[in-house]
Amino acid sequence: MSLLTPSHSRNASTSTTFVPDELITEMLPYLTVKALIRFRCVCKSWNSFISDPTFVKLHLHRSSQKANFTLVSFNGSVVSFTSLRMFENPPIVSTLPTYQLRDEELVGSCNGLLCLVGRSYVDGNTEMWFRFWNPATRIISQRLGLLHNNNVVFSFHFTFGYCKSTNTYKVVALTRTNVRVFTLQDNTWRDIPNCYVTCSSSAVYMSGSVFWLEITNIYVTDYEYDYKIITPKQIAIISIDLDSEILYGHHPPEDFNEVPFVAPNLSVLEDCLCLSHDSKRTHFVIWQMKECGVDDCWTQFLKISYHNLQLQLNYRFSVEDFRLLPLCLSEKNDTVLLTNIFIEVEILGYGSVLASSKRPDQRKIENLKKFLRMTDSSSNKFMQPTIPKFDGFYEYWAKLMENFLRSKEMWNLVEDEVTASPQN
Amino acid sequence: MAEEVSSQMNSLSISETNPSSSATISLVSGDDIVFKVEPTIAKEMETVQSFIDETDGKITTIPLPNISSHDLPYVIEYCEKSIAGKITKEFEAEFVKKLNNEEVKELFLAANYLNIKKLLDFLSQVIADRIANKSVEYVRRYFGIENDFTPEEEAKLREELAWTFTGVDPDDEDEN
Repeated sequence: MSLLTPSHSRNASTSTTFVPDELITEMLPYLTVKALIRFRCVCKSWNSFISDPTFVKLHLHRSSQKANFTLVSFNGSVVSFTSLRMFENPPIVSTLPTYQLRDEELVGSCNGLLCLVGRSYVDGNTEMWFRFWNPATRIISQRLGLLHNNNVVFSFHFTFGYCKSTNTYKVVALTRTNVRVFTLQDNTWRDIPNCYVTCSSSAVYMSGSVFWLEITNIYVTDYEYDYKIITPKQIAIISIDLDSEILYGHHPPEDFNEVPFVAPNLSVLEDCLCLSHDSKRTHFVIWQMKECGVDDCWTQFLKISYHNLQLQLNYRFSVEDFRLLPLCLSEKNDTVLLTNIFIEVEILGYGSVLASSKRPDQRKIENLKKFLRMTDSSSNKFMQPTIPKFDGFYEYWAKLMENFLRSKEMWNLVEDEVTASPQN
Repeated sequence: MAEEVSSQMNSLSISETNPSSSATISLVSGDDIVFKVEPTIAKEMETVQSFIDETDGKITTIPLPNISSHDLPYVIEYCEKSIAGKITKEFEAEFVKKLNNEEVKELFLAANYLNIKKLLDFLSQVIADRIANKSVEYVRRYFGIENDFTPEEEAKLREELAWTFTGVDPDDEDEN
């Protein structure tokens, strides 16, 4: 670790206890982002030390104990929860600087960075671009990774992840015809050869790889997932390692022997890949992949009836009602937050249900719902004064962009925006 | 709690090192007060333990010139709790409550000198929490750092980082 540059200006003879520079540098990573950035004004050596990539990494390491999960609402506000204390503490709310990002939506978050995708439609062509935003340091990139899509029928699905070996971020784009990887460092797209995606559902990022579901050996002429024409053996999980850009195939759990009538989903809980699906229209099942490798090791994490979920299923019993997705686990692993993914606006407002093998705590649910509702109506509450932009120097920009966010880090940012207390 | 520590200190202090009591380790503070501790406590202090190891356990009286008899009992208390596995959030909160800002710094130095990782980490967090909402000027005073920016440089930087200057506690001159 680089230390503060030797300072001749330290005054060791004052009555207060003298703390040597190398010890101060031990303490600095414990500070919150907002304080750190303010303390760049203390002196020159603090300024350069705090801006140093080595320090930023150290700080990221220090503050990344437990992942947040992030929700984004339609009006552009980002809601972030610490899964550690999601019921006890209010979520963190910050609103995207909408005057800049009118047409952009959230792709995902990784190490505290948010990846946004923007779209514009001109003469039947879609133009897409990405921005990378660090809400904690208030730094946002320019439009990067421009993509054109001449065939509007083939929509893209994007996933955002971190590539450790090169210390850069990547976006994986899945379309019906191919897989492409965008590398932030070079601002380039690369096609992954010999890779065809069929009927892919949502993809997820987990520890250096992006995973998605695929129906193998089938030619699907339209988007509809049709459980009547596929067998369980045809459902496979594909992953791409972001370091090597090599593809891997994984088998679903052994006991996954019946094709659910709505498409299964992938998600990440507790750093484990999860496969969740409906079972016979009566139960919701979550499998967890405990070990990812040659012999993927699956365990059934949860099987719960819709009745016990206290899920107010629509009497229509339509497909939409069953498209549940686990979002995160509570600290004691006794409660999982589920959402209905079909109608996006309902993710934040009303579609969130809590499942527990025990009785869900009604008070906690109410607290959470209250906040989800509040965040839904919080448009433009949080104004960004000046947002530094990516100026083309990746190295410099990257060091500013790197984490700094995570868990309690964002609390300072929004201290004035969250007014109500969930405890009451 | 503070009283307990000090009474214990009196009973232990100024007892000349006794070669027969080899079961305990004597820690001698900078102001020549002797604190007898169990060898398990010494193990928590890497600096002390490596001293003992180097001499094959023959020397059990360790001079700690950099640590005052005011600070040493706190360090010992923390190590005792650590061995007992009783470092709880409640204990830490109580422990910190007793310390003013100068004492926190002194203990921070002591933890570093004795190489007690847990205590060092804990005190890092304590200092960080205590200065997190403070002004730049407060931090300079707290660490005795001289501002080497020109007024123009500082003004420019402050303007650039203006958003981080909201919600800063007003400086309290008596606090330190």
